[in-house]
Amino acid sequence: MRRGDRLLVIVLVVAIAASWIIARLPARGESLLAEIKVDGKVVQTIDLAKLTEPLEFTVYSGSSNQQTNVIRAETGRIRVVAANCREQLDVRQGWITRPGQSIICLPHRLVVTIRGESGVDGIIR
Amino acid sequence: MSKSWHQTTVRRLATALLLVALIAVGFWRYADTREYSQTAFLMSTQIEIKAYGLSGRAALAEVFARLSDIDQRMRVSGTGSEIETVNANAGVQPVAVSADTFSVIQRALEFSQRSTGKFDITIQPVVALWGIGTGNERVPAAAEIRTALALVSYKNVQLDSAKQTVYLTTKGMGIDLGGIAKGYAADEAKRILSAHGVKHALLSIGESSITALGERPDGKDWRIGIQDPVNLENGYMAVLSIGDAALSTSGAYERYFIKDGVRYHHIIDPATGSPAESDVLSVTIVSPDAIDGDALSTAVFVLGRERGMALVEASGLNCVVITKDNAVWYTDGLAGRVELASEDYHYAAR
Repeated sequence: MRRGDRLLVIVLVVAIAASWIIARLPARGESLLAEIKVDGKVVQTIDLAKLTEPLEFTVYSGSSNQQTNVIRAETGRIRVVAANCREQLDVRQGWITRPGQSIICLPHRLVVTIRGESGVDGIIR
Repeated sequence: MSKSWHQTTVRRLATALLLVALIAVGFWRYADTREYSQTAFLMSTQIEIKAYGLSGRAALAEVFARLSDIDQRMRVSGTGSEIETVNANAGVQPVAVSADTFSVIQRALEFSQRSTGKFDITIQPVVALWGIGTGNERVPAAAEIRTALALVSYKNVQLDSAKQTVYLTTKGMGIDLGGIAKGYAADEAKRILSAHGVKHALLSIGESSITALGERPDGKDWRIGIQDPVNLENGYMAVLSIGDAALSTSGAYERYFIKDGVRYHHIIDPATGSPAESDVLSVTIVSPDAIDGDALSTAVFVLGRERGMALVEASGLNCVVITKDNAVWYTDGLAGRVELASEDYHYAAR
């Protein structure tokens, strides 16, 4: 084996080992990302794990911003506390705490999802 | 000297071949597992489809165009809704509908027969009376329920396959394809994805229906969590491992209202005209076609655990049922595929 060959083999082995290790590294820090989308567009992302104070805010949607969903985020959990939609399914659902869970307000096209490794490909409810 | 030259060339060639093979394998994996995902609000729900493989992008465009088409035809009201026209002509005249709508109604009636009317698409007048999920919920008077119930019978839906018409025989009757239309949409979407050469996809047509095309891109089973029907914030309480199959869940924990301390949920028993009183907290049907699961999950909820599971097995399908004593039941076909994820529940002693 010539020096070039040896170098190539070493580079390949190192590259394979490195990519294997990187792929298996846990996500950095303890984060629990909640993502709020309106009509498919992300309007806010909150790291629930890093929240020290409760956070409450209103998401406005609709053509003249007349639709409202009041979101409350606390350490490790998030919910819709009030909304002016008819069905109130989002308010009634209460807190979500784990990756893969989501709250959907269909009339306002608002979706709150907790991202991250959930251990499942989907949740049926 | 010539020998060593020869050896070097062979080595170089082997190295080059190895590299090409590695790149080819890498590309093949990429081509097979590249994820395309699209979300839309259609059929009064959120639809999310993940398709894997390079043919995914073009396939998704066609799928969403088709879903929007089905949505328009099958909704209960709105411009272009065939269902609205059928309902408005109840007791008046038969209405010609598209092949889509006709086949969905036909399938719905089959399941109405098979479940001896526990699943009945003509329940619409009673559902409208309760108004659950509309923001105008109320407990109707017994007399009102009786009047509306008199209009409920799948036997009074007349289909003419030659003319492709639907006729509701009595004025005031109405059909609501609701869940079963979503099942049909899932099956259509899966068919289109498959025709485009997509081998792995996961389709969620609303939160109560998930359809899998093929196995997961890594060749393993899909892992689908079943919502905890009691403590909603806990997320899933069990994991169901499935290959190519459709799942449909019915439960009383999502749509309901509380009046004078009594909880009224949205699954109406066609026999009483009131929310079904059942020992079932949630039922998940596993079937090859999504349309079957949507009809059956409602029927099982109304029938109760024992008769419901018997119906599912007689239909050659499978299901997971969670009963009010926190027991998890499943049909034999799901042995080894149901894994508990919460200490609040236990497998049923069988």
